[in-house]
Amino acid sequence: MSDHPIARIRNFCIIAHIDHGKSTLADRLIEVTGTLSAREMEDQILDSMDIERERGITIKAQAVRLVHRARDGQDYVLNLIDTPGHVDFNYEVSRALAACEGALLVVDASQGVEAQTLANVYLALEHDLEILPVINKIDLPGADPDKVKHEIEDDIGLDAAEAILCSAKEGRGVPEILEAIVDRIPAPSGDQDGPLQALIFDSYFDSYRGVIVFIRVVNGRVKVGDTIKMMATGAQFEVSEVGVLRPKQQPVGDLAAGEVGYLAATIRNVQDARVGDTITHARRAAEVPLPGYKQAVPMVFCGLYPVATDDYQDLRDALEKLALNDASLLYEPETSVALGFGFRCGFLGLLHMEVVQERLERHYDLDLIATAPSVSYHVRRTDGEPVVVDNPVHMPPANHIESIEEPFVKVTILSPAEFVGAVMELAQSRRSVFKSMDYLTADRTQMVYEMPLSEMITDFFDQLKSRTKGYASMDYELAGYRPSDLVKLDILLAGEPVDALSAIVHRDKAANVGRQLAEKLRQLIPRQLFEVPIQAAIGAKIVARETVSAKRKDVLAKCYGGDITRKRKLLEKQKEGKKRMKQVGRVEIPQEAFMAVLKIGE
Amino acid sequence: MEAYVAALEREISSYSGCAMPRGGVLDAATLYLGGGTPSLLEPGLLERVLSAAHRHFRLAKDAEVTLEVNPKTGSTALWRMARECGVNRVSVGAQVFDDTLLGILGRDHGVVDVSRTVGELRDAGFTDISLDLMFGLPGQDQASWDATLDRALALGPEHFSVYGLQVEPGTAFGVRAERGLLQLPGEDAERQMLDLLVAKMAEAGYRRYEISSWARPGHESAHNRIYWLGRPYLGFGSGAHSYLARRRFAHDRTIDGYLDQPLPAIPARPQPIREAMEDAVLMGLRLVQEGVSFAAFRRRFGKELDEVFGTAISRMVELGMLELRGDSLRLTPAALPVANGVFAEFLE
Repeated sequence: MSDHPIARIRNFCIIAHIDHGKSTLADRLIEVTGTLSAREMEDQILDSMDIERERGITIKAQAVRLVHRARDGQDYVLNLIDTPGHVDFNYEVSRALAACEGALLVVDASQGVEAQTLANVYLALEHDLEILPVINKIDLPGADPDKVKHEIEDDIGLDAAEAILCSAKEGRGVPEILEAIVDRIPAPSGDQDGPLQALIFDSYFDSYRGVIVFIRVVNGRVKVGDTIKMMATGAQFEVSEVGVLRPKQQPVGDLAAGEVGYLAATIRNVQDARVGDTITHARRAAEVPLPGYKQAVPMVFCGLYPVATDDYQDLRDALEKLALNDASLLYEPETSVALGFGFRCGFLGLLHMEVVQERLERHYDLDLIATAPSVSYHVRRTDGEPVVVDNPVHMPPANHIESIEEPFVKVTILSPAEFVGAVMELAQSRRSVFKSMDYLTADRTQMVYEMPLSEMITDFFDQLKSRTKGYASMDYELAGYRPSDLVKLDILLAGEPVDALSAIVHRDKAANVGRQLAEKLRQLIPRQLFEVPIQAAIGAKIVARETVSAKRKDVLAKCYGGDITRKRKLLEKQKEGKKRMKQVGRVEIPQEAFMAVLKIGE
Repeated sequence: MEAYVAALEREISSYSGCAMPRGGVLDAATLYLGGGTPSLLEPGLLERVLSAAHRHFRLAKDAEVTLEVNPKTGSTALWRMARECGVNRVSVGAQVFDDTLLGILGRDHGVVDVSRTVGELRDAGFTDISLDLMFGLPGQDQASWDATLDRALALGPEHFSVYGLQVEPGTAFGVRAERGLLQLPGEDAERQMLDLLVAKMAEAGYRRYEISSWARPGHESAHNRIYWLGRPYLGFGSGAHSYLARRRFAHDRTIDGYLDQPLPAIPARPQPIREAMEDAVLMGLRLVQEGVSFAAFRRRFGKELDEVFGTAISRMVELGMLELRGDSLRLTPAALPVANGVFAEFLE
């Protein structure tokens, strides 16, 4: 905007591990610059979705425009772009970083540097961001800023001499941070008169105005009435609104190179405004898009089924609505013999999957059965035809399979040295390949493994946390497909195969997994009026057998005049409980049984 | 106490004379004084309650009239008065023959009180005595249950009502169970207790005619049968329940609430017909010998039993939980210990 020349704009983000105080610091910056009054600050602004807040994570990026009068007497526009705080959303993080020139690296003064921080710092460095280390929570008794400074220098290789000591909670160090942003983060460069190039770093669906697109204008300028074009999809729209985020949306005349803001253009579908895409003008289009666009690829799949078959249409509507806002959520109808009609859904990772499930259950009040998460296998059939299998049920019969490849991930683990043995033991149990181990300091190690994604999504992170008393942290990235000797494990209940319980497992582990799965199911399936045999089978071979014995006693409360109503209520409750279970053949199976494969070993 | 009895008298009288259509008097097949502890009554007050019932209802000469007895209360004078007023059956809340367990249950009587009371009742001339027993109690083991059964049988009552403890949310036990403070025997141990009960009763010549009731032939409770057959009944006093004209209604549970509002609110609408049919099956199946009669169901509802509950019946017959015997549907022996699972199938 004209009153703020490009030289007085700073675009930055905050990089921090979960719980290191990113949201509190963001709140303080908003408050100190007078962007919002204290009353408006009652809640943390940036993490606004309830599930995110409960888990202390950010899934969607958000932005806020701060105006700061610096010591030189000039007003500066500081655009803070929030980044998603979880490895599942690495790509979104990279797009948010691409919209910035600098980053605050917030490290907890007592916790120190963690694997995820490291991963995000590397991402930031790749984008040539100026990184300002901030050591937060210096007010806490366990704070050791000097130790953390050493970690920042040794683990990350950043100069921590000018690290700012801060207590976002108490507001200490915040003015210094604002000055450092002005002084040390470079102003954006860009040609305000050149062809338009604006990077989409987030979007959401608004039922009145269509998709609201968050952008960083890199070159040129955009205003209401312009016809714009999405360079990846080619879709064209007429801009109906542009504005800045204070953090409420505030329309302005135009947004020029260097600025961060939003635009609306009656876009009906988030698929047409994908994160990472470049917006240009339909006429006088930029020659090339900004670099780095990728289409989000789901890594984890599961089946979602309504417990009550009547809810199928509601589930479809709810998924449709969620997908309006979440371009990385994929879903398509599928049918299970055991569970009826449902959807195969693809997610960026396990957390993404959990968040979507929680939203469906909480916001749309749906009772769901989720099948155990699976990955996508590349199968070559004996007739030479390649097949992609993201549901164990669709695995071709063993004698039709020439080879199977599965996705591997590179996992980086940071752990105190005393837990190295425990971490190695865990990693080895997950078919992983050891790549490297470095001592970052005398008592901190970085270990790198490659392991099948399918092994990582079965509670690897939880196990890592519990075996290291919570001290280890990890990050992962996709490392490509590799051949593996895999087999399909089937589960039979009362003699009938239950397709939704099938799993793909490594041949060497299959019998063992089968035994544990059968054992876990025995614990999860309640006693019924009859005995329920549970069998695990590989092909025709039964590898494990367990039995849920029949109910032994469930009767003999008295039942006279006054008891009838009460007794009825008890029976109704019993019936209600049965309704929440899925009847497969004669057997009633509780929801959590379909996730049993994840609970092995608990 | 006097005020309460007076209120009872007023309530009982409201069902006769000008209050009723055609100024008539209702027939009553049985009378049961139970609920709290009617044996707390002074003999004179007991007499007033019973005579009110006789005045305002037409009770047959040999009608079953039961008095519930707490073994800690009552006196030979009370038993004598009860006999004179036509009480011909007593139900004694023995529960267990184990003082520690009685303490846990919060009962104020001891084992000695049970034997003494039964002796007094026999001396007073009662020939129809029922004992209430309980199992599945926190801290109860097989040996203790075995001893309870032996001592109960040694008293030679004509009838037994036996229940498994049902821990319900909101009760003192429920709260403790939620906090994990209750050491319940568990399902398998309860089943063992149940099996022992069934065996000992059979051996001693008692017939199981209802899920939780055993009797010497001819001593089955006529009153309870009314509940199980879904016939109408009227309850008077605090906490008493009634079922009349297909409406269920009840008094306030507290005595003060009852004195405030001595007439219960009767629902405007009868219970839904579906619910009445479900109740007919749930309650009727409890009568393990008779079962639910197809003919009686047809007469009462104008529909066939298997037309309404076809799916549940065929599923349970297939699982060996129900059997069709002549005109009736009955629980199989295998279903008796787990009958709740069968009942739940019939709910919509």
